Amino acid sequence: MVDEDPTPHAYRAQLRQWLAENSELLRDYAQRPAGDIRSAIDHERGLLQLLYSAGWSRYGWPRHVGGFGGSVLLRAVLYDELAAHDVETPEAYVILETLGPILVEFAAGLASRHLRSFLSGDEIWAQGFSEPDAGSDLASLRTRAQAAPGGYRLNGQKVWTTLGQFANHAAVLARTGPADSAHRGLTMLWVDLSASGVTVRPILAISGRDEFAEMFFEDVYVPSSETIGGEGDGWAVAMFLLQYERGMYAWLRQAILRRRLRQLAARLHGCPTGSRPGGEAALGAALGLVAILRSLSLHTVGRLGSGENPGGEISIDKVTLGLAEQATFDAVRRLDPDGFATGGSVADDVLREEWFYSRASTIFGGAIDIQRDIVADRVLHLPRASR
Amino acid sequence: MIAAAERSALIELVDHFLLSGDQDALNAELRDSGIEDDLRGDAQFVTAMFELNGFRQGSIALWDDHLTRAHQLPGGRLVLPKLGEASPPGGRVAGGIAVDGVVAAPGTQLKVPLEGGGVVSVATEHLDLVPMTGLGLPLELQLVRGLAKESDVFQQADAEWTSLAADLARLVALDLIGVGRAALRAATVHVTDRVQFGRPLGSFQAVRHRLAQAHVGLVGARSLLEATAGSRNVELQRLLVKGEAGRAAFGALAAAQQLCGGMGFTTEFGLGQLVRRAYLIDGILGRSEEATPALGRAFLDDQSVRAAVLSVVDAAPPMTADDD
Repeated sequence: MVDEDPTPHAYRAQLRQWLAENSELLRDYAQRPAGDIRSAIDHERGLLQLLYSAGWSRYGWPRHVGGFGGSVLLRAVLYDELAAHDVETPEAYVILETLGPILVEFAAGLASRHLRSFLSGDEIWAQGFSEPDAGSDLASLRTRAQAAPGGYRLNGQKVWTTLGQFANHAAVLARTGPADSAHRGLTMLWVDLSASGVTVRPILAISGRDEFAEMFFEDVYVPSSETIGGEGDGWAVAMFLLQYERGMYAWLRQAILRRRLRQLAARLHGCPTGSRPGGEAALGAALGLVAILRSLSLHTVGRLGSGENPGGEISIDKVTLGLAEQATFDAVRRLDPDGFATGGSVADDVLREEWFYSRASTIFGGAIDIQRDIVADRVLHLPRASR
Repeated sequence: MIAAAERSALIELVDHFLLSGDQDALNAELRDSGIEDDLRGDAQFVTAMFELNGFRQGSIALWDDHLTRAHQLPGGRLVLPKLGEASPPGGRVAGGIAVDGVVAAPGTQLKVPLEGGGVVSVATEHLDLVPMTGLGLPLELQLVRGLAKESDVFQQADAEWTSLAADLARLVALDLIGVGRAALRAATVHVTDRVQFGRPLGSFQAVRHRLAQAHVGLVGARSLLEATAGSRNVELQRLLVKGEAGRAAFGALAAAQQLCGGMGFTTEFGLGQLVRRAYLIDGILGRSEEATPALGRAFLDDQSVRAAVLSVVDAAPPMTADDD
């Protein structure tokens, strides 16, 4: 239905036509349910299947792993257009943009086997990086992958795994080197979560949405064919993942934030906000940050798509993302403080969940403090911080 | 199309002239290049030149030549709205043309944008000039007021205010970003050199983070400005683009004022000049601190502003002739 390797412009034109033709069907996906994640995932599977069978979500992924090829910008266009057409962005796409790039880059075989299933909603992936004692200081992680015949025995614990309790496979960063090997002795494993020895438990979160899980590994066997990158490449793989995540995830989120602000305007159009003087200022601040995020992020995605490594500059996007998230949900909250505090509608529930989640946006994926350190070191070349 | 290498060389030349403070030589160089119109139409060149002008604290009369060529304005130094205001500084009244605005480095002739459209040129002698006090120097800003007669008008053009103001807002934004970058540069150098407690100030995390955030702000504002080159919506340029440029600039200035400590407080250090320039320039077309709530209000109430803000950055512009 779309030409071989369409330009983003052509892809968008045809996607918009399809979205318009299917607008009735897509209305089902305008609002994600609050609270219960299981039903949200089941519901979103329908959307994933729609977008997969119509082909849209296969563009921007290489043909040799099951995609339809074309520039990574095609994915950026898809995420933008979904939000612009009032379709909730599937959670799955966030995970896709975190793990997809490393599978394609470092484990094409795994990508070929799993990408299509993921895109169509048949399976869910998760990432296992952080541990209770290793968050910002990821290099100190202790989950151990001991050599075993034909593979590894995995022992340890991971935390803050998005949708871990629903996932089929996880990319787990584990230590294959000696205890003091820091970032050098790490390997990224692709773990089948149905394997014996795996336990996953949801984390009760203050947002009321239990979207994160802990994963426990007790002598879990992982064949050596199921690694992403080679033994000892784990840190490089993780850094590659973080670059892409900071690029495309930021883009994905800006589309969602813009939609939230648009929805807010639609709700409030014509209503005086005179009694909420801070609300308009909060909205203006959010609009500024989201517009900045959009322009930064598109530029970054373009650079990543051309194979460039923006290095420390991508931390500028990450800082801006965290601030834009918080500004957006603070604006929504400040323009509807009653809804936030005591409202009982689904929209109010979702606002509370999203407001809480936005407080975490400056924590996960590389805390804002770390990002500022990176800018200080690699962009401003300030004197090294003392330890 | 200007080749990247040629553009870089010309920008370096611009900086050279800005450093020497020789604006006339800069203008002559642009004229003599033979590609002045190409240069003034080249977004990257324009962005670099006017940001540098802020960075080097050059005369804002530089904006004049650019706006005059871009909008085919008549002769004379451009009169700007009074600080804090966004409407044209002149208007036709019974008796002639009332003027109440500001001007930088006025010569013998002025040109005045009018309420309702059009720009008229009059000899400066027909109006009153009053040097501005306060933060004043060294922008050489003066108040210009009075009532010129219709017969005093020796040239005029149709130029439309909102389009002119949209471009003016961007030049102000670029100047603010340049000033912010100069402040950040001064602070970065200072904290690298200044040693206390046995180590450079810049090795303390609180210092590093403040400067890093200042840099993030400036890069973001610059990115937004580049991404909005195509928008003719004056409220977008004024409230969003210039608003964010001001926010970033003041963030960098505040960080610099704090982190440069006692030295930064001396006239000799030079930070004071940057602070004064920013607060003055920021007043052109409305203060950036007021832009934020105004933007929020406009987004809620004004469909054209909302649409303009929501269309910032085309994620998939046409790439070839076939693409349309």
